[in-house]
Amino acid sequence: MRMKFYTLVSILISAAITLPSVGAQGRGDAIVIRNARIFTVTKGVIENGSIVITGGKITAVGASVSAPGGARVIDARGLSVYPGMIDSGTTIGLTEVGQGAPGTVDTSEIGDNNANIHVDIAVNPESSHIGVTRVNGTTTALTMPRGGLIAGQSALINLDGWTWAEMTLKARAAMHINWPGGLGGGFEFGGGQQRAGAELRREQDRRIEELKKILRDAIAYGNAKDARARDASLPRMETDLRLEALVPVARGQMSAVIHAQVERDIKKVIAFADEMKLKIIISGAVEGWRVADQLKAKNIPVIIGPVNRMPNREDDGYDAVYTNAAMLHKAGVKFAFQTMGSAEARDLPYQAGESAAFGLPKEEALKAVTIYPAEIFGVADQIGSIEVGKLANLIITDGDPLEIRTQIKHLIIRGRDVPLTSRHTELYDKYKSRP
Amino acid sequence: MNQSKRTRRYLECAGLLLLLLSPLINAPLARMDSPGVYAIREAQIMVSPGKTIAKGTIVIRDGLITDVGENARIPADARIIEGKGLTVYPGLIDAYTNLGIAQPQQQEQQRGGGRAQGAQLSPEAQQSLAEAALGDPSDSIADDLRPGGTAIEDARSAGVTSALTSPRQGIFLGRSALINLSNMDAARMVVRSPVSLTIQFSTTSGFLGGYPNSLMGTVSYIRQSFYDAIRYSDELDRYERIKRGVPRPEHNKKLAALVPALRGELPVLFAANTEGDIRRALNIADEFKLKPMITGALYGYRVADLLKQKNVPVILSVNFPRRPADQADDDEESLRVLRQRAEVPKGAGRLAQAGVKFAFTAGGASPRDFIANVRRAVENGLSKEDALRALTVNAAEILGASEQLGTIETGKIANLVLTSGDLFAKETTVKYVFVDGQQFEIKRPETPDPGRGGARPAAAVNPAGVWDLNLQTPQGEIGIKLTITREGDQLAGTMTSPMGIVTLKSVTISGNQLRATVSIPAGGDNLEGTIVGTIEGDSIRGTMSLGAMGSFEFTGSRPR
Amino acid sequence: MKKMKAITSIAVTLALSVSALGQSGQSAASSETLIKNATILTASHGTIKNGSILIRNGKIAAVGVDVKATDPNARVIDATGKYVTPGIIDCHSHTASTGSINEGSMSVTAMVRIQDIVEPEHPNIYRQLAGGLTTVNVLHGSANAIGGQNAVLKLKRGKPVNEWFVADAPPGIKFALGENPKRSNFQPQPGQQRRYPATRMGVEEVIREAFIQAKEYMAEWQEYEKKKGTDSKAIPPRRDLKLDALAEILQGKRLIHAHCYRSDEILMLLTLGDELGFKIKTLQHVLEGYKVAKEIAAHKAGASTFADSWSYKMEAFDAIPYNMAVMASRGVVVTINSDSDERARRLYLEAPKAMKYGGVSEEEALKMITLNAAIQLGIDHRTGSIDVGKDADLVIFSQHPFSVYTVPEMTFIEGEVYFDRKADLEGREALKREKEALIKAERGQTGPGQKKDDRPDPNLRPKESPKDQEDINR
Repeated sequence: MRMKFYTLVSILISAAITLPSVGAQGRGDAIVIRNARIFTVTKGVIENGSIVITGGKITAVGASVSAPGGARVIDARGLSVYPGMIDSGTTIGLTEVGQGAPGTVDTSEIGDNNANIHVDIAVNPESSHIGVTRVNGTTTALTMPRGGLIAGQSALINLDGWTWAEMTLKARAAMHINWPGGLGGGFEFGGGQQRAGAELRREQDRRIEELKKILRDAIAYGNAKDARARDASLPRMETDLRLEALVPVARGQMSAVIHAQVERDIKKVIAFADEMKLKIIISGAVEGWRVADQLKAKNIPVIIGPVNRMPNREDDGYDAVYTNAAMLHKAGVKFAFQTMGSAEARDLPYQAGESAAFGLPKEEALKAVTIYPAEIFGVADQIGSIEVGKLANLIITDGDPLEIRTQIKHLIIRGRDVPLTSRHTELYDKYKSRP
Repeated sequence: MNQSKRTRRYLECAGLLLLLLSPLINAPLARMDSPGVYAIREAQIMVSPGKTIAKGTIVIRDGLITDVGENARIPADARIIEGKGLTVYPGLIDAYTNLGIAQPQQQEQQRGGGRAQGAQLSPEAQQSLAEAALGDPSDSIADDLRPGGTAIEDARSAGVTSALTSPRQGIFLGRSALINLSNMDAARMVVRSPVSLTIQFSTTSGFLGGYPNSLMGTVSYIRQSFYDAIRYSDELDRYERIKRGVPRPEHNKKLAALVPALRGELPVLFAANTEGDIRRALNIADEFKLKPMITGALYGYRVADLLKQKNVPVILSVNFPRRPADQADDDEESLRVLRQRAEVPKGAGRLAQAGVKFAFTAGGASPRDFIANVRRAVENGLSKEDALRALTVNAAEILGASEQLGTIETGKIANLVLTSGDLFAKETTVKYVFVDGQQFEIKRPETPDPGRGGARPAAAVNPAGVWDLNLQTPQGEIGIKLTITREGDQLAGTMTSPMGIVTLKSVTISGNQLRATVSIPAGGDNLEGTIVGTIEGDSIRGTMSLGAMGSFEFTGSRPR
Repeated sequence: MKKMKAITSIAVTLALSVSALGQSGQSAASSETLIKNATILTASHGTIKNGSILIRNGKIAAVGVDVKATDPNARVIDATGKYVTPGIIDCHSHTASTGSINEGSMSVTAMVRIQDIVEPEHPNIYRQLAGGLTTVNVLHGSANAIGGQNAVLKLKRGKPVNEWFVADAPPGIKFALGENPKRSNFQPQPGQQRRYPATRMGVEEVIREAFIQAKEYMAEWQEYEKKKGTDSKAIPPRRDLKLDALAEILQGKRLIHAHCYRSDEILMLLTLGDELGFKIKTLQHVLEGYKVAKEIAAHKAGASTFADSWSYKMEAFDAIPYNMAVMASRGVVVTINSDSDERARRLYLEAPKAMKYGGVSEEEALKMITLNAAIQLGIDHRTGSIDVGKDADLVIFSQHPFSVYTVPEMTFIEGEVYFDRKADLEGREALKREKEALIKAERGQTGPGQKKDDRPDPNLRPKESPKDQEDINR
């Protein structure tokens, strides 16, 4: 009974995550994929191999495997199997129509400190974006809150399920912090160089101090709670939901995704994380390549994207955003890709592909949408590669999934062979046959 | 004999009186209706670019130069200025300024029926603001000169004796005037009017949604105005011709004011710095066969050949782009911007080389920087002779006053500058200035300009609180609320105006000087505003500049 | 001081010459250029393997497998293993412009012209050239039911701006339907009146009224032309720049590029055009075009769309990436546009989405960013495909242009190189050095106002008194 308060909480959370998930339709059925070229991502390529899926998981992979009787066979002759792709930053499920329909948008809460909100419970399983995204090969996405200085907690969701609970792979995946200021480095043509004047710099520093204070408060709060759990004679203390949510972050137990783009900000983020002893992931990082060595030295993972944007500085090479990933890779920084959107999420593979066009090895590009994000978010034991014991999140394609012309032939999420339909295919089918 | 002696004594007395009054010379009481007679002797005289008298005399009487030469006779009634060691230049001309422009006057402010209620502007006030943004081609600055303030004195102290002046707000800036920077009443300052119809490519800044709120709209607006003037002129001609049985044209002073420009009788001066603006101006001039002139033209060197080919006179700004003061070392500037800053000061030399005729304007920079900036043009490839030409003869020619101004010749207006040496040498100072034959002593700033690093160590006042400001615009007062909060030494705040509530981008206090910047969303664009005010107790007064809308004075208080 | 200046000027000269080589148009010493051993995607007559293109005087002089230069000094580019396509054409761009692209003060602004605000210095121009883009249809924004006049430009970076205009491109104009002209996603400022119209019905009436005015205006001019010379009272009517543009539409001289989303508004405009006697040249965005593809084809309107953007607002919620394929299958001339400088530099990766979604052929997909765009802009007689006699507007790609791994390596406009990746990479060091030299030279300088921020206003609006100026800029 002398269990620490937070240990208890984390046990409860992990229990929630590992609750036996009631499969969507067909989830329990066994499937065997035959005659496929299997890109395991972590264990090489298996030519003409098979994969057995039972109970939503991969139970066998190899050149010759034995399938349980009654398993449905997918003949993948001439096709390839890849792990389902992972988008490391989206708002899928939280937004439907960007402008003019605020009722469909749940991305940004009011206020500066929204540490307590967690998006998993607001994911709309019926969102048309889910189907549209997954039919292009993304099976898992980090969906995240966007508003305030501390935006709240993201969730890793599988893009299939009857309810948000079924979809959730990892609730409270990370705490999202929008780095204050976001200053300088860019330019506005005609408006002159975008400058970080002294006042703006002071303002940024003030906000960073604010953030530090909140985190220090969280530590004190957590310690006090622990102390009270040990010693019931201590006076009762008021619950502060925001600080409570920040305790694991402040203790370095929960990752903080800090959204920062430019060199100066990233450097400040690194120093901040060092001082506060946080476990961080940097998101955005359009100028990550400028600080690649420092990121490597601190082993800070980076989530790149969207890659489809203009270089940050006028004098950057025209290809500066495309080469960002290659330069981070060269420095040994771990990275993944994100689309930072919802409607745009189906184009995730092309972000990796375009980075490969500009110097990133193709295998690395594939890893950055499969195993790397799984590692970064601590779910590599469940997704990110084709290995026995992992969730059966797979795509069967007629070619390289990073190539635009490639077609997805099967999409399997947690063992379910998900129909390749979406709001878009439905509208297409309807109007294509208009007389 | 007696008579002449008496006259002399009288004049000596007058001279003494003048001397006694000289500290007050700028006060209206000291205005001299009959200028004296002067002889500047033994001075080096820069008669005109390339023509120098090593040691000579200039005689001034009744505002005019009556004699110049090595052996010019000094009249007995002249007061003598010892010119030994001094150099006399023709008075310098700043060929584009806003000197003598009226500040919004109290009566005008009241006209709007007092302060606009709450955060709303009446439709009439909106209309009025939109009209002000368009300007009025029939405005004549010569009819509305309001000398006063220190701007004219500052310019004169830098050796500038004449200036073209033009209003500041609007697309059609009306008709400009060439004025002498004396301290006489407005009517007597005017040398020539109108000099040009002046046009700038400004917009309504989306302010209250008026047309045009885009650059392309502005171009269309200007073009349509000229087409309307053509039609108006046709209607007037027909009416003049036939009278019976034809519609009587309305009386339209705005359109009528464009007709002389269409007939080539009045040059059209376009304010245009960039290559794009210059091309826009020349396209319009071509379309309507106008006589164009360009003022600004910082990037005019890029189209030097075009300007030469079309024989377009240029009034070149020497307010060269500079590295912004608050640019931090890790704020990168682009190569394009750096190249521009290196190239623009070479522009004057390039225009000269291409054979473009040009004068100079300080371009809105401090008059004290005017000659210093011209010197930079000289360091960057412009010959001293061409620089002097631009400041004097060329300016006089371009502004249509070459018979009166620009050289030191008999019969011309006695506008002269006496310097300690070569005008373009760094250490040279201006000793005396004559405008319309009237002598001015040069005031020198005794204390370093506070804007130049001489920060006063005064303790800062606390600006926190809610300030009610009355912004004085030509359309009446507009009520604005500034809410300023202070935490430690950090200041922040909001501004409530008819445009809504916005957070102040920055707030600083230095001594009792409050400065705030604000970005007001207006029709998709942002209107950048700067508020500068002096706080005394619970009252404040100052200026708010609002992008292209211009600057407006305000007063206000902090109710406790 | 002096020495530093000298060093700077040498550095500048050096760097300028390098950058001229690397980043702007340059003419070869010879009037001929031969691109040989390439896979040529002509966009008009299939793919030529191991083919060559001879460029002479800015035009394509020969295309085929056995093409040789006639000039022994011809520049020869060995494109073995590489792919050549026509220069990419973007049918909906707002690039290379300065100031607002919306004159949003009124619902009809046919008098304003993009040609008045072309800005050749913008850094995005080079970035788009690096994406193989050669020609753009720069359009007015979509705030107004009838917007302003367009400009068709070739991105001749480094050339005087008057050389950018495609002289024989028929003039055009922007229309807009739906949410934008009815301003449903815009908050009026406090005190500002809401602008008419606020419904799709109102949008139709605004357009109808404008054309009725234009017809009356045309009649007024015709009357004058008849009376002129005989009637001494006849003077030319007021020339109205807005109605001039609308009259040109009715005379078939000005092409309509109409921003639209929903099928109802698309059909409305086609019907209104039939009623009032004007044709729609292109429907822009036209995200629900697939629902009325038959009607669009019957009107002979082109469709210029996004490949796969959707749901960014209500009227884009039914957008599907199969739109291109459905419209093309019904005989509509389809293009894929950018509406963004960023997307414009990867249109070659948007086109294959037409293949992915709905199975359009490779050549048809390529046409959607080249020849079809030229047709929609009325410039297919001179660009848009690799055919003898056309402008040598070409792109060399490292791999198949539709592969995500491809990199555009060279971009030609009228035979001149405006982008060369190799030169770009080689020139970067020199540009860096130039920049360092300029910074060093500038920091060493002293002079008036060096401490101050008084960058000149581009429009030169000097302040009343120098004192104000200092206060304001401190």
